[in-house]
Amino acid sequence: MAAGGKRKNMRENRRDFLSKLIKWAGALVTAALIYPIFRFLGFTIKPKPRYVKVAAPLPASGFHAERDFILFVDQGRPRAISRTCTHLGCRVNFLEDKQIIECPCHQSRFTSAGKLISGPAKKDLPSFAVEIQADETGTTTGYVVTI
Amino acid sequence: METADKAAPTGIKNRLLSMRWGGHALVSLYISVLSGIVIGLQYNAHQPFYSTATIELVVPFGSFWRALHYYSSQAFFLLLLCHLAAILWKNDYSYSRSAWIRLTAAVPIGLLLLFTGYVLRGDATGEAAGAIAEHITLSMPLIGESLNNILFDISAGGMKKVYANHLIGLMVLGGWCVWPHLRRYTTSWRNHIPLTLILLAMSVALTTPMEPDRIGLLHIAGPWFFLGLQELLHYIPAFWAGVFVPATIICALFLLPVEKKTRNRCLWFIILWLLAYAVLTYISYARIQPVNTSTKTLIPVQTPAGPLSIPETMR
Repeated sequence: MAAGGKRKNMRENRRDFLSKLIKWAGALVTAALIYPIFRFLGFTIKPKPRYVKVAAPLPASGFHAERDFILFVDQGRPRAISRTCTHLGCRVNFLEDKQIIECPCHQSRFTSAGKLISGPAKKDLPSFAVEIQADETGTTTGYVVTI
Repeated sequence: METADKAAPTGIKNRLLSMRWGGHALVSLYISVLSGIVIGLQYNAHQPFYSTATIELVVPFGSFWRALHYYSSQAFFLLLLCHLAAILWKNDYSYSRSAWIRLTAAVPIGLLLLFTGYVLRGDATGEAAGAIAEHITLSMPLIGESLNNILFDISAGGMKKVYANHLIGLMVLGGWCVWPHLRRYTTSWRNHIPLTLILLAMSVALTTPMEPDRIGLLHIAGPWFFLGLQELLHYIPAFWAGVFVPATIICALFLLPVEKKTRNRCLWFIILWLLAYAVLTYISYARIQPVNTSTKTLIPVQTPAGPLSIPETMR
């Protein structure tokens, strides 16, 4: 009777041990898979630079809004200011009447040069490189913005 | 005794508590999923706004299917909240902590499903909401970047991951959360015919909101459930407004199956949190109205059939 009980105990212990082993192995495999999952999903191929051409001359207002930037031309000198707000990434607008750039989400304000006027944003708007295209007479025909 | 229990409920409280909120929510979800499959077969995540606009304006019955998906999804989430509120009010739930957390995790997942649906529209509201969500996720220390790579990653990959999560990831996760509950409580369409008819009628009669990006759009507030959070983001950093504050109410919800005193504290916290959020929502709503009502223009949208204009009523 005692020997039978002991055997039963051993069997239960073994079952307990095996089920724990399987659980731990499962947890270990899951944990081991988490890293490759995050590495796989986190890998991004840097996009090729995009070139956006804006024809010259700009409208009388002196600016042209594209999806990613606002192009200003001041005395022949172009500057392309990013439209991505440095606060939370919303697309900013140029308010022509106030001559400022404002974010529609949290009303951060910037000058037309992208300098921060008021928050909640903490940084200036970045700008993109602009190349001037001209014909053989030297007249500006367009602007190429590299994003 | 049983007859007395089953007697017609009297009073507003009894009437509210005896409604089939859970069944209503589930039927709304069924309609949302079915209409979502129909919409998904036409939707193109590479051109989200163009795709949404053409579904709404060009594709035959597109407006109806989009409306059905929109209103049934809204109904699902609101009815899910009603179901939860009724259960908490009746105080007749008896779950272990782990089972309760698994089940109630369906609420934030449902909210994320609703949210990703807004983002996928790709209009001004959806685009801004997506950008904000991405930045909030990235503000989380240690796990922010990895979580963003799974959930959003809109700035690098567009709507690809949002779409995959809306369609599969969040649906599977939500399904796993409620699976034991759904096995226990079943529902039948026969008991929800009025709700089904109301949703169908709403989809035929009402237009679905869409807000194209346009000059003069000075204030974007996001989806209705996002307004309070948007307001909070004016005052405090993204992590505290977008992660910490929402996490407190979720933690309070998860903590509910405890002894009575702590449970009551959690319930009071949830009520006060919701009241504060309602106040913030009202402030945010009041902030938008005077600004955006001043701009009324038609926005041209180029479609395969030629240029179309999105009327003011659809915004």
